[in-house]
Amino acid sequence: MAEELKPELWTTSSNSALKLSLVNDENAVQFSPIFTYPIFGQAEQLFGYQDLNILLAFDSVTFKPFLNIKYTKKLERGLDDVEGSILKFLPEGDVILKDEVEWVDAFNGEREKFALPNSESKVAEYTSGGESFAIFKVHLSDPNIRQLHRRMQIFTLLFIEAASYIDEDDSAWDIFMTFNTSTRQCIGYTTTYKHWRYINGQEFDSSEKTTKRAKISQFIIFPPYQSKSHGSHLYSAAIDVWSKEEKISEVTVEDPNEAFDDLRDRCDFMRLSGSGLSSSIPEDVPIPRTWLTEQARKYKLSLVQFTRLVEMILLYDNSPNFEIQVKARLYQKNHEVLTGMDSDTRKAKLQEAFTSLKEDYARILQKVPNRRRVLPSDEENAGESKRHKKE
Amino acid sequence: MTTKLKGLKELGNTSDPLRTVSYQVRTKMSDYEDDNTDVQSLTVEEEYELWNSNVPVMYEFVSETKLTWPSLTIQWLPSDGQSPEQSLIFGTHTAGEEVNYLKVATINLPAGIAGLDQGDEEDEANDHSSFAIANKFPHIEEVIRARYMPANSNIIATINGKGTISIFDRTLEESKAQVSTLAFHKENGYGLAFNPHISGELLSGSDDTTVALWDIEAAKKPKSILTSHDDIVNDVKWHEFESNVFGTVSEDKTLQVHDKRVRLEPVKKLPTASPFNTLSFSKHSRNLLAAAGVDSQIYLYDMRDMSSPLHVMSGHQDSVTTVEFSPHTDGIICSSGSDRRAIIWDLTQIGAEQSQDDADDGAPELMMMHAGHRSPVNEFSFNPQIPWLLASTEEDNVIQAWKVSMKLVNASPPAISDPSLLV
Repeated sequence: MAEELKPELWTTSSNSALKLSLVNDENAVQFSPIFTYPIFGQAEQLFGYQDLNILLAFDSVTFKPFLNIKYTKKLERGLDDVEGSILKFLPEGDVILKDEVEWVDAFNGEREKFALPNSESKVAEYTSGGESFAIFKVHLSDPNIRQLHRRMQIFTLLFIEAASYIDEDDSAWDIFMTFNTSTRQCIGYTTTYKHWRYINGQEFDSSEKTTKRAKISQFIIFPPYQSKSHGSHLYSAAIDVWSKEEKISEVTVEDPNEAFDDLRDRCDFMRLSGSGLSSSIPEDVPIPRTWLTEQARKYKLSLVQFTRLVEMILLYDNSPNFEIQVKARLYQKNHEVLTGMDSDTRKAKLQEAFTSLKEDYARILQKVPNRRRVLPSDEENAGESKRHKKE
Repeated sequence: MTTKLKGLKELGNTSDPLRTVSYQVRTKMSDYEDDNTDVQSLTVEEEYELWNSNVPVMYEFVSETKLTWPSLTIQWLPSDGQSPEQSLIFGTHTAGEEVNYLKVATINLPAGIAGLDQGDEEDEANDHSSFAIANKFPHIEEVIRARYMPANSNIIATINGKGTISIFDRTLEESKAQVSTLAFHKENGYGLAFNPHISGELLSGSDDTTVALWDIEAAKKPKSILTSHDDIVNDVKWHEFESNVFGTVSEDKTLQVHDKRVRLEPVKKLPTASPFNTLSFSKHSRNLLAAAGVDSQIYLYDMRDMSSPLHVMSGHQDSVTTVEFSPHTDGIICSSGSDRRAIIWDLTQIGAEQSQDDADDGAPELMMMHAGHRSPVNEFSFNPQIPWLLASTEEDNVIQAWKVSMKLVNASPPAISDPSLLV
């Protein structure tokens, strides 16, 4: 049979064919996407080529894009339009195709003019591994930011499940971007949206109290820079800005994945325990809802997230109330189902849910850097964790 | 004990013009089967069956009445407190085949629904409602909209397909109840609103592009006429706090706010991308306003700065016909649409965090979707006495009265008497 008639020879996984690179002065760091379905379709497969290699490279400073598609053979008809599919998601006329020299010249030329956002928009700075970083709160009305964002937003499709491009013309978007201040490389960014918040008519009519909810929408640290606490710094910087902004009354996260949930829990835990919340938690169990609501508002957290953190603090403090608090909340949340059960079954169900939640809290707390006390599950590290260090 | 739901399907086949099926819901959560049926691909009947099977988790009570002719309008009448006997007004649209009527119906609600003593829950008789026509007043042409006068709810104004306004006194004999006719508009009118603060003051808006202000107690001619719209006027509404202020929306793609002391020009004129069909002022805030129309979105505005909406709510899939703020609960809005849906929105949830599962069902502020209608919903009304009780009317001759499940309303968790019992 002619090989043209064997479709399996001409089918490639788009996730493995697509190779992403960030290029700096010394080398190119190559990595693979997690998702390609927004670009190549639900099956994440490309048809019509053999030995297909799609190189999508970005200058790590300007994010000037370069695309080079290679293959050993291709079909004459019925093949997927790889180049066209990718170009749809990158700024029009901006991508250099095939000619690497032209691309290098182009980004080197751009680099001469490339500057960090102006210092007034700087909201945080820190050092890590001997390098200096700064976080800026920027807006798409700035043409430089708009161009940079247009080039890098394809990473949201490739690394965040169900991501889609944001509406650049909606002025409610703010972006927090982290840069290496000496190399000017963007390390990662988060797009955030402010929603009008209605509490009640009275508060709405007294205009000085008009409040908004700030939502973290997309959050990405580029793969070469991951696992170096840049995410925690970026999240905390956004939270710090909103904590000081009177109009923001609550911070929310849009559809977080597990890794982001962990990051958020750890950062929120640090913030709450650092503020001395632990000693003010009421002794009553379950903890009164009025107290939870009031405190959640003070820390600009949703009631669900705040309650979760209070439970983590109780566990961390080895509070005797921890178990009853968790079980009471689980009971209230699932009471429709639980009331129909006999007492023993109910207790067993609650115990099961409690145990798994406790394990999850312990797992998160293990990674909290400045533990004040040691958790039972982590005794071997007792010596080290006694040190108090400010992050 | 669980009351089995009665199938509503049989209703469609009945020849009885006023048959009502209703039930009080006491079904447990566990009876609800969560299926992943792709709603997009269902027929209207299949969708209705799916809705019917979900009724136990969403409602305290649903009653459906099949009418001989469709009603374009519906409004609950005020009554003395939360009595099980509630009344509403509606009209007929016979398309010239029969005499039209303005009708007053009485619904006897199950006692528990009316907020009264639950009584003996075993008593089957308590579980059912009845729907009966109390009065019917002959009406010239179809009833486009009917509204009672807040200062005296025996007085009802209607506007018909020719733009003529009729005033009824429902305490009079049916044939003599029409006490006056207010002729001015030359065409069909959809806007009709009594001033909630000034007895007898009525606004009407018409396809003839004008808005008329009447004092029905004084004269049969308009007090003033507003000509600031260039196309069909779709709705007129009074402000709930300022007795001089009202709003109008039109096919000319403007939303206008007027002060009746300032004639001719509106005090605010907001151009919109597509025309609004309906608007409503908040009953809990002086500055909050909602408007919606052909683009299916609900726009929320701050009257202090209307340059851009505060927020836009998406959930309808077709033109929105009516939008109204809840008289009882601050932050609650209902809207109805040509997509056969009524949606209850909770403004306090705008921007709230939600799980992906919840996000798949809609925006966080979309509290509940009433999917019991099989044709476009013309209008709905919040019952003024009983919170969370609504009535809605659709193109295909059906009126539904429904009360939202308290499980959806009460966010506060059950009390735990002795937490040690859980350990």
